[in-house]
Amino acid sequence: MTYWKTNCSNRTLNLSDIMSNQSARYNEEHNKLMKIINFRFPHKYKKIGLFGAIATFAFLIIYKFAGGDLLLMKDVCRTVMLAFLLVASLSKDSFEDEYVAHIRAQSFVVAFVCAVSYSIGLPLVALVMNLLIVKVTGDGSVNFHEVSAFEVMFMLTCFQLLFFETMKRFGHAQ
Amino acid sequence: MHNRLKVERAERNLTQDDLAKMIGVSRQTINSIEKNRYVPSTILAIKLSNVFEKNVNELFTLEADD
Repeated sequence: MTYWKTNCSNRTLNLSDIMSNQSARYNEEHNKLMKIINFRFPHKYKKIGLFGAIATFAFLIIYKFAGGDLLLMKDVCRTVMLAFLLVASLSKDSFEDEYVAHIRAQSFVVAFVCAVSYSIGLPLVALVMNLLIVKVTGDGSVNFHEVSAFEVMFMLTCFQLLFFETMKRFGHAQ
Repeated sequence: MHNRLKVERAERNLTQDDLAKMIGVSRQTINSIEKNRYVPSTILAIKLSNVFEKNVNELFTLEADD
């Protein structure tokens, strides 16, 4: 009987130990994840990101008008522009508080919905227009416009920055 | 959710900027709360209740559709 009691209490102790270890591990993992989610660049990076993206875009246009048609250059410029936009999107505001964090989260949601709607809507619009043109002119074939990953990512980051600034303006309005 | 922030602030002669500085947020945050565009977190609600020395329930009241 005494042996059984001791055995039982040891088992209970072990079970509670396991549970508390598991809880501590979950907490640790949660904290690490929150650290990654809440990571933001300092405020000065917002300007760097925006100016960098605009400069890369300007360079891309100049390059195109100068007659450059190197595909690698276009791809590199697009990637660099996206990286700059991501930095701008992930940088802190001049005054960071819970309201700013809230509108940033909202702007990410709106941007996500808009980017997905864009990638669904644009090929459909293009398809309808293509069908109409083929029907009117009577020649050519109907193509399905495929939205590239760059287009979606570019729209997403741009929408996020635009919605964030727009929603921030609502806070200023009296 | 209805709040009495503007009334309490007026009674104490505080500007939005003064209140914002007291609780460590931006003026836009106070403005958005007053205009019912933003529901503050529990932490912020408690900070506001400490400033006005009133219960959170006195500052913020639920409406029928909440």
